[in-house]
Amino acid sequence: MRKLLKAHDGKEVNTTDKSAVPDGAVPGYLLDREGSNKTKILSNMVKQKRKEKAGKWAVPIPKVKPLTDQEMYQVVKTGKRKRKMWKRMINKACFVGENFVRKPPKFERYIRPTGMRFTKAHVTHPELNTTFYLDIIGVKKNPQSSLYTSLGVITKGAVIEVNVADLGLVTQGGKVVWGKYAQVTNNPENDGCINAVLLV
Amino acid sequence: MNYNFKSIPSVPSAKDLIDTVLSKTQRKTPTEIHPQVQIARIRKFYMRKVKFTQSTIEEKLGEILEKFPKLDDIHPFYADLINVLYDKDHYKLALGHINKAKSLVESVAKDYVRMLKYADSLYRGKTLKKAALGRMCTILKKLSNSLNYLDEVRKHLARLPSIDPHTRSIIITGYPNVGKSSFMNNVTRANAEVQPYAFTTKSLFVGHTDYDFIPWQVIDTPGLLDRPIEERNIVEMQAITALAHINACILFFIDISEKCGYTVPQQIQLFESVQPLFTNKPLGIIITKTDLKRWEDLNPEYQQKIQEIVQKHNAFMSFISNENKEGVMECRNQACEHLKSFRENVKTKKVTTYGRSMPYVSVPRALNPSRPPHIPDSVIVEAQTGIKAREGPTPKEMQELQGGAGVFAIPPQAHFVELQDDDWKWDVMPEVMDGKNILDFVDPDILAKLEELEKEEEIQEDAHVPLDYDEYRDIYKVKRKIHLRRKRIQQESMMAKGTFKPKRKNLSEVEEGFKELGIDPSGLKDVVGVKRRRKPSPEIATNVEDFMDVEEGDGGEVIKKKLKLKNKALVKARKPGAIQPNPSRKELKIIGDEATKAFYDQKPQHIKHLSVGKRGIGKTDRR
Repeated sequence: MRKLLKAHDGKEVNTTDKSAVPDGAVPGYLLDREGSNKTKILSNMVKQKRKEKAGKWAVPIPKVKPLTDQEMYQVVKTGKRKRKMWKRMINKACFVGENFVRKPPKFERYIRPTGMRFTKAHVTHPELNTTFYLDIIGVKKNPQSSLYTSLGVITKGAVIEVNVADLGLVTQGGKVVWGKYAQVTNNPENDGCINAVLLV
Repeated sequence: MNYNFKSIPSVPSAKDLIDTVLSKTQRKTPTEIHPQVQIARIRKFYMRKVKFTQSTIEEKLGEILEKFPKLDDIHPFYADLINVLYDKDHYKLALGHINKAKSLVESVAKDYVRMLKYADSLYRGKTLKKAALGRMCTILKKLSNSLNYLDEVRKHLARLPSIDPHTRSIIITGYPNVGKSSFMNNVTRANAEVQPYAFTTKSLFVGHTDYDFIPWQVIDTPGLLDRPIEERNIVEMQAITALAHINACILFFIDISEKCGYTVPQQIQLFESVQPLFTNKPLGIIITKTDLKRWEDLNPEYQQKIQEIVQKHNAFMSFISNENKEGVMECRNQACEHLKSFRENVKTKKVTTYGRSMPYVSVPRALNPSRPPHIPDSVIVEAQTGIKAREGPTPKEMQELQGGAGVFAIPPQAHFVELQDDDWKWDVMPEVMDGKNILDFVDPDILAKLEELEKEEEIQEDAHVPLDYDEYRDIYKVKRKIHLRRKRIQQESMMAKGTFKPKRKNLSEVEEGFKELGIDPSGLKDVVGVKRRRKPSPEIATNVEDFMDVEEGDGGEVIKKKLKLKNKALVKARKPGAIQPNPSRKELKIIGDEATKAFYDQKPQHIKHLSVGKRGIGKTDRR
């Protein structure tokens, strides 16, 4: 553990370059400042690891425009005097699992309208250059927020899991792959369909 | 029904269809909207556009579907003709394709209208509308091949002769080049092409002629060759469909001059092969080109053959020459007369046969026809010898004696037979007992059956010898051994798999196991005794410090105190009737996403005031 911490701490480098120090008289407050080099050197191992980690999540759309809450959902007013504003209606495309059962409408905080629910996506295989119409299994990650991930909101840049059983992809071990991740490349709420690129 | 396919409107190509639909949407729906207006109005604006496009497409496609003839509804002659000319499967597929496109457009529109309900900006509405129209147009674009095919079919259908399959008609048939078209030109006002080569006529032609002040339809068919039906080409198949489906007078042309290129025997052979199509239709054998060769000059052998055919099929024979129009009109008149009488005959026959074909069910004969009355032997003997077989009056006689039918009824007991004691007959017996009909339980063999059962039981008891104690013990021991061995094997295999979970055992069980292995278990109790207790009693709670390796010091005392307190609380809690502490919110919280999170206590904190407390008068949604 100690070793690990040390590796991440990096080496404190404190060297002075004698040649950089000007000759002649120097005011006291500048003494020993010039030519001194104070940085941390990270170990190669840590650097490599960081690189790998970044590479692992290299996706076709690395950055997405952040969405405000206002764009994300609409506040639904409730109560006899329409004073309560704790209900939210999601305005974006959603994936809702097959066995999802609604809470009693009175207590339902997040409403995901059936009109905006999607179960299938047009997924392009980047190497085959072909598009398939595949079933969505779930939403793996919505970059906007973890709340939206758990709600199954699908916006541009979201990573979804799709059922690729029909594609007949096989692992190195010879097993049939049936679930694969894909990143959404369009704005489903604007186009009325989900287009995605398979992450291979 | 009028078979006029000229009224089918033209089918636009896919590109034209898309253009008309989109431009109509543009022209007939409002075009201006601003982002500042109410969102509801924006939504409505775009929804209207989507719906309008959908209904326009549906209307256009529906028109095509409606106007094209449905093969199942039209006369089989036309259905077959369409099959021959355009291929039935292809035709049906094209129409089916259009029907499917119609429903697809409908579902697309439905989906997008639903999505438009949640549009929150003008931009979103606009993009959704664009996507919807785009998808509809793509569906139309895919129809392009079917639409082109249907347009070709339409053009061809419009050019078909309007043959009415129900009226009086005369069909002309024969080998190519025997003078069929010239005959029709002579008889009717039609102007069919006549050329001196085979298959000048490539499709059906219709002409009309007047005879007896009524119009007659004359159908000229392409020439037939003598070959099996599978090898016939489209041109010939048209002739075949006409011959097969139209009830008409058929004129079979035979060129005796053999100028057509086919010999007379060949022509007779053709007649024989297509003759099944002429059954139940008036038939005429027409000898043509008599100007080139007269009937008398024909080989007498052929003459006889033709005569035979005429007689066999009850046909009429006629001699014509199209060149100098000799016998043409006579031939026509003969054909018309023949058809007329035939049609009248059929009509009257229909009436008469109807009377005869009234439903009549024949009664099947009985398998055993003789059913003589049953007379008991005793009666026969009595009749023969005069000696009465039984004593006393018969029930019938008794009835007569007592006052006849209606006054005296023979008691049902009189019919009881074969009782051990005859007096039992008149015992008073309830019909129903304990709510059950006694007669349901009557079984004359019940005693015999009981006896049998008892015997069986006795035999079984004799065969059974009880085991003594030693034998029992031995069996038990073996059984136990088997059980233990099996268990061990099971555990070993589980351990090999890595799925073995040792079961918690009672101390006594462990001791027993030790004994079996031959190890003295006396020390065991001291080792595990205290720790293995599950429920700490108050005395054991004080013993905690004995086995807990508590560090001595300032902290030690505190820990000890805490432990004591906790144990006391546990003991208190486990007493029957003790109040269980409410589970904390943390305990109740179920891991899951925001939307599926369950409200176990049904009292969400943010609206607690709605559901907690007493209800006032008439207050149901707040307290």
